Amino acid sequence: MIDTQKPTSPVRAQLPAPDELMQPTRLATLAPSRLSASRSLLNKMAREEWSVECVRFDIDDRARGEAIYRVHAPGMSFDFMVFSFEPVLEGRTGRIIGTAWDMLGALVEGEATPEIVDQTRAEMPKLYAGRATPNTLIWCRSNRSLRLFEHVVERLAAGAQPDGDELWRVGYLMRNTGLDGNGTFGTKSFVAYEADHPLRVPYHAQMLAVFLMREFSFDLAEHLARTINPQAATLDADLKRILGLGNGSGLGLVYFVNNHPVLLDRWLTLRAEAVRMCQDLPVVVGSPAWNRMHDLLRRAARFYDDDPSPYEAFTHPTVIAEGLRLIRKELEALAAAGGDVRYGDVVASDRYDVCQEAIEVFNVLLLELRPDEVDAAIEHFAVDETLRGRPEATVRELLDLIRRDYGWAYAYDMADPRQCRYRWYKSETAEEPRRGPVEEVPVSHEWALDIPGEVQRITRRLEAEPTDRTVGEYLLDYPEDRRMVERIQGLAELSYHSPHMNMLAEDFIPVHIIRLMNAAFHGIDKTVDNFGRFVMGLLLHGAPTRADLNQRSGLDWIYPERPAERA
Amino acid sequence: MSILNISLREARVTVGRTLWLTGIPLGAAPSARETVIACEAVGLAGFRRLRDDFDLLTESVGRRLALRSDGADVVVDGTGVHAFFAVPGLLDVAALTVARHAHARVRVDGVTRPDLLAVLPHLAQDGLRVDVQFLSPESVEIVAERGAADASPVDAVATQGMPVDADLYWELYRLSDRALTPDSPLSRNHTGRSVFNENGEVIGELGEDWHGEVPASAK
Repeated sequence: MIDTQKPTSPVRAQLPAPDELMQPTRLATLAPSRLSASRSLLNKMAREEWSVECVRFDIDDRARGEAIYRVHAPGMSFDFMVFSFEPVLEGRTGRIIGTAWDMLGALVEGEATPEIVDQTRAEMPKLYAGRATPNTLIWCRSNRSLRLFEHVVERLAAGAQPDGDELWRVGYLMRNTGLDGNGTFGTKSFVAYEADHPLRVPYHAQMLAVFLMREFSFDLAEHLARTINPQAATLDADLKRILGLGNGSGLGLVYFVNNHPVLLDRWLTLRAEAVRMCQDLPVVVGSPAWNRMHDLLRRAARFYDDDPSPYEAFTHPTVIAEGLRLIRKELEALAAAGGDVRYGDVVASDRYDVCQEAIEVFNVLLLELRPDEVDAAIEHFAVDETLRGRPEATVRELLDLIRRDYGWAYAYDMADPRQCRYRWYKSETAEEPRRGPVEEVPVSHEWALDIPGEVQRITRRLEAEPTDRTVGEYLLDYPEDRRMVERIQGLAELSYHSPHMNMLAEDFIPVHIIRLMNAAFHGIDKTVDNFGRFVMGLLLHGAPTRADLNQRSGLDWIYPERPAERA
Repeated sequence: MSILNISLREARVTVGRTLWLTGIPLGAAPSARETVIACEAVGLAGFRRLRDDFDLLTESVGRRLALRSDGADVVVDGTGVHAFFAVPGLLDVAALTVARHAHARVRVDGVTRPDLLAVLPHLAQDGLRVDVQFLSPESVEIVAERGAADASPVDAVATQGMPVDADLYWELYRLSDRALTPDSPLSRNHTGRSVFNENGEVIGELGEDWHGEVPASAK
């Protein structure tokens, strides 16, 4: 029998309902946190005292050459090979269809021997036809910011620092144009990472490559400045921290969410449980937690106030900043009223109205009050993603399960052409994910995960079957339903596995799902939407550099300050 | 013969897309894909069969296994379904029969390439022990009961990769690329932040490098 209610633990019972949290617009409001991959990696590197050094830098005055960075983690070291090129404009885009990159990088376990460097140098430019060496974790690519990079080099060569406003506006010297691992191009599969592997948490290997690309961007700019003037200035350490690594993400992340429902549920559950735990903390005026929260609220509000990014559909950052100030006032008011006040009371208050984005920023600030517990939680992120069906279940049981978990999917009228407006596909050009109106993509396989359409079709079929027929027998007649039936059955015990969306619909806006991945999962700040289908942003905005990590400084880094505000 | 060690991810992408080209419904493709990979992993030449049997697979799409049962004894008419497509359903039949009767004896006739059914024990879910006996060149008997399943070869591929004939793999890889959609100026407008002119040429990218008005054709 299928329970009409999911099994609940006391904590789970207090978590957001899936019908609330899994709305794409709501998922898009989840803010970067110390559970995000980039931040959790940096926190782990700091906590475990990783060190990073540049062991080779053979690059000429036109940026051509190679470099190697070495990362010392507990029990293992990694080398990051950089192949640097003189920028060319032809074929240069931030998309995977680009054919020219300013640098290619490869993260490998252990030492990059001359043989490994030679093989990687030969194979990486082939991309999909290339083969990584067996110990390779990540292949990556990045391009320079066209204008800021040159500006920084020119100013350093002149013995000066770059313009703070310009630096704050752009935010990066190089932008990531591709991070590939987990089996792609022959890289090591994630499930093959040993239990004690330093990069065992999902996305940490990718984020280590991000950190090292960012380091290279600093070193390359300073190097090129020195080739102009041997007495060139070095980039101020505070300015370096502000510079992140640029990032642009498109429709591929929607496919990722569709293909990794167990991982999505695990992360969202860990996050929700951690937030709930911290919301239950007592508000004690003058305590270290109180002071820390006030400092973080002030820093976050200032950060959003100073965000100059040109958002299209997303909430303007000044609105978020105002919401954070309202939250601070409400926190102070609740505390002044006395009694048993918990931090969660602030977001539960109906005495004021703030945007969901501000509430989600407050929620992630709460995680900073219990850093050790939260950091421990992320170590449980890795999960077996296998979905197993139950062929012995009856048609009635499957119908009950579908009606319990997919009521939202019945709301779409799939006979309405507006609900089937788009076709999702991959281009033969570098397998780029794309989406176009059906009439513009007449010959193509459909790559979308059409949960509403399939759930409705399967429901109709099941309703015509004897209720005691088994699912296994049903699938003999309808093998085309196997993927969705096994998905439904395999996810029966989970809550946060599938965004409640019809991705074929005219009014479906992909950037909400892309932002979920970029901001919440990856920890990208300033996630700006373009055309409703592309999100740009900054990785490691404000993060410590390798020098900081080696000196154990600059580790309280979230919500960096605009340079002009520095005294 | 040159050997290539491919990851499970690569195997899934290449095999999955190749299967799409046979016309198999997308919802049936993932389980067929795992069958092909398991066949390759246990030495049943799954990749070569995928290439050589492409026409047979295409003809097999749309056929259905037909089930006749009498308690724990079950007869399945394969109706010409290719083994790559039949394996998921046969495992279901074994599992649900064991769930009802604690054991199962499933006779299978008329499956195309029945020798590939030797992969069945390797793909059984945990808790189901499966053995396969070949009664004749066309007839197979599956015996199943509760018990520990064989270790999954797909799990081993996930952690260690899989050595394959490099030429065969790249042949399948190129074939699988046909599941992708041809590029066109119109298609390039279906993603990203690049701004194109009317000829489909990139004239900039929204963001740092683009500050002009965006042409209607780019939206």
